[in-house]
Amino acid sequence: MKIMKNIISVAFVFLLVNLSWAQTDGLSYQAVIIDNNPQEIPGIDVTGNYLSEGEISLLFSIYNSSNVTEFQEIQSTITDKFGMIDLIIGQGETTPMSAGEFNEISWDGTPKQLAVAISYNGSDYQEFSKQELLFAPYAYHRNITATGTLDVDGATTLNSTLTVENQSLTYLTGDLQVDGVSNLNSELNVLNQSPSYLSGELTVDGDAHFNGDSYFNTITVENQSTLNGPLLVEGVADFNNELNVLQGNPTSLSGNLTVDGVSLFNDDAIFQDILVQNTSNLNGTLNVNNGSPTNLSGSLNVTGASNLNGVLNANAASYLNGQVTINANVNGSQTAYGSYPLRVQGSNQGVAIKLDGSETSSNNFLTFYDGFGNIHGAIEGQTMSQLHSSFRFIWDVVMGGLEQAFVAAEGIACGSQLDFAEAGVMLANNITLGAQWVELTNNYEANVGVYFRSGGADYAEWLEREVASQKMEAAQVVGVKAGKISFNTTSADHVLVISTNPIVLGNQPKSGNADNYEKVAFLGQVPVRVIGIVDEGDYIIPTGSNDGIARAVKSSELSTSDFKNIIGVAWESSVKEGLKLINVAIGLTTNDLAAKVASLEDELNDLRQEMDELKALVSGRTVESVEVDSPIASVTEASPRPISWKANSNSVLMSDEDFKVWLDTYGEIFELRMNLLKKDFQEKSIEYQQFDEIKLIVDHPIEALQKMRSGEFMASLWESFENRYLHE
Amino acid sequence: MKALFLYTSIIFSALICHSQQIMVEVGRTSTQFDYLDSDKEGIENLYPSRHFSYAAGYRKSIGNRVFASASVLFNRYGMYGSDRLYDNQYQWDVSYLGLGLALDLEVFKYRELRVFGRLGVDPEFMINGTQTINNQVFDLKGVEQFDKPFLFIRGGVGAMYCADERVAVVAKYMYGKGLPMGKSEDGERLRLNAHTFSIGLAVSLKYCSYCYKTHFKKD
Repeated sequence: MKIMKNIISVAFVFLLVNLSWAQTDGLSYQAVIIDNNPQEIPGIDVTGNYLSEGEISLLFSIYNSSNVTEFQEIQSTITDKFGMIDLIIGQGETTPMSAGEFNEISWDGTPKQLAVAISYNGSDYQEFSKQELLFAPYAYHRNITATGTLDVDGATTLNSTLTVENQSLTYLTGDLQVDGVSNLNSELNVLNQSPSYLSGELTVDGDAHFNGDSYFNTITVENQSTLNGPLLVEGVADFNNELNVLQGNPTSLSGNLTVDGVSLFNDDAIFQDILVQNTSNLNGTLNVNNGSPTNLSGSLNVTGASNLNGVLNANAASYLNGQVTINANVNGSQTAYGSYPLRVQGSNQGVAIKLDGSETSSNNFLTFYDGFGNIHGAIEGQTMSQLHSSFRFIWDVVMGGLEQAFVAAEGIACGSQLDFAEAGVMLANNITLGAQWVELTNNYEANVGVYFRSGGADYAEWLEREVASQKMEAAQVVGVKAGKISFNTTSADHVLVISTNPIVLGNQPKSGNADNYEKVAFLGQVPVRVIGIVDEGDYIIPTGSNDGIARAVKSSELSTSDFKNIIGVAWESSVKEGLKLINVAIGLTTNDLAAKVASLEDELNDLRQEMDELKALVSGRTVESVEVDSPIASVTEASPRPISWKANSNSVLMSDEDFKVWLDTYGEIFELRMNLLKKDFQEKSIEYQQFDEIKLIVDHPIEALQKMRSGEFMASLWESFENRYLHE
Repeated sequence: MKALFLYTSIIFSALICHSQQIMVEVGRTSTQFDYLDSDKEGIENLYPSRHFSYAAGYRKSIGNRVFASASVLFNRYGMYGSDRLYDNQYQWDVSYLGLGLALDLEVFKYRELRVFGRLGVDPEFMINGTQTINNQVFDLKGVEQFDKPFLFIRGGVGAMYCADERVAVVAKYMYGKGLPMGKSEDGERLRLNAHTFSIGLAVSLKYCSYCYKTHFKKD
């Protein structure tokens, strides 16, 4: 028998551990017995065939970790046709070496070994296998009922529901890893202040109460979150949707608040400091309360109206590119500094007004309106055109031209370097006159000024009342003595009128003292209280009653004592006997006294003449009449041939025939020069024709010279030219 | 081996010019292993495999109808089988080279056709051989049962047809039994039974025209 020979069987053991309850405890043992005897065939024999239908006996021994035999049994069996055996260890015949039955083995998790020996004759067992018993890596059960404890040292995989009934506690000393969904139908309490870590999302369908500190790396709240306590965020908090703070609760930010989008404050917003990097749009009112200052380091652009109900302090330059209207509710006396809505102070210069472009008479520097919108006055600028069109400018230019013409004529007449041609070239080149024109123009242009235009009619000054308590009214007549005024005109040094509407008012009294002063007219048209009939041209003098009222006196009826009391000349008439206001021109009567003095002087001369004649008659001599020139008379009226005004007493005046020859000889020079001047005027659009005298000189210079010499036209001017250029 | 070669050469040279033929044959051999293991039990489920065989030799008449031949043989033997119990599969494939010595007796003659019976022996030696067990191939070199000389005793019949005066076509059947030369040490015994069908050509040497003498030349 092949089996009877020394056989060392190699068992391929496929061991299943199968612990079953109650009646059968055992280990399922299946093996394939390999016949080590080769199968003889021609040539090389075949080895490794299983032992087919062979009788064998197997000795099973289980050793504990101390190598003590806990269990041993013998089982005899016959291999099947394919050499397999299928036994249950624990159902054999225990040997005396066994410490107990199979079900008495303590499977306490300590290592145990299974040794298998085989025999083919019932004895002579030869051990062919000894290996450690391993717990099944995979055990499949329908139901497991354990009355004792279940110790799991390794991983436990539950493919279905784990139910802990009877409200029994479940203790996990190690980590609990749940790969699937964990549904807790009751509370989840983490005790001992142990932390809970969630690497994934935490979805709370109900309320989440955090009674202690909560730390989140990332928290996503799908629905409403109610925080009954403070929320401390150490890191960055990004809100992808709205952040609403309800119930009027405040929101405090200790750090910077950066808003990349639009910030809408539908109610009051209180800021300690607010820094706006870009544009800030306020669709409502911006109130700065508690008198807090608002500091702007950059420009402030206000598209709409800006209403400042308090003080506006601008410590740097202020530029207002729109219209500025000051509606100040400040009222008071004209002498009170605080009565004025616009006050300019703090510098050694006052107010500078600059208009766009060149000013015209229709562009005012200042315009004065009353409360009803009526214009009462304006300050206009004088344009260059106005300058060039002014009489004085044109007159001086023309005079300059005449001067040059006389010079040229004199040069030719005196046989100097100039001849007609050279004089003509000189004039044409405008050498001298050109320089004179530039000098004259620059001088005038440097003095282009402004016009005061006003309904006001007089120039007045503040003068102090002699008696402070004595009230005075406009149009009353007052006397000035030692610079103070009173109704006493009898002993006054001057008699003046309280001004009604002065255009210029000087001698401003000091602040706080204005009530003791009155506006007194010095020059211009002033309404005066006059009693009795008044004709134009009548002199207005006080009544003498020191009552502030005046009366009218004809010029022929003026006495010498009235002269010092003359207030002015009436420029309107009135047939009313009673008290009324008469428009009087004051300060314009200086020549009146001169005429009177001249008349008196004539009378005196007549008396002297008569006296001399009487003396002569008494002594037997004759007296020659002497004509006395009255320079004053030449001032008031033009004489056909005025008495020569001699700048140089040694000069000899030109005769008529000499003048004619001179004019025929040099008249061309004047015409040439005036033509050039006329051309200049036309080029500069200067309307010289509006002045008759200038028009005559420029358009007809020879005729003008003839009229000058004949005395019809500016005789004194001719005398001046004659004495300087034509005397011998 | 050297003695055998020498012996064959002497015989061949002695037969020159006496109805001498050169024969070349190719055949098909079917082999059966006659095997008994150490328990004198045979193996079931073995099947012969067929291989080509080749022979080349010299034939000379030594009598009126008797011929002697010597040839060199190249034979392949093989079998295959399986074991249902152990699910094993086997296959053998061995090549042998031998020297055949035979005596032909012409038993029938008709016109160009000659029928003869042959009896011969040929010792054969394995050149190479393989054994395949369950797709694993093993070399039979050194394996006792195969790598030893076999003495084949062959017997069979053949026919020769003279195509012309010098060339004859030969067809032959031989049955041979190979007996292992030597004693088996493991108690197993292997014998080879071979059936060979071959055809060939026999060319008469010059001046020794077999066909001419035997047929075309009237006796």
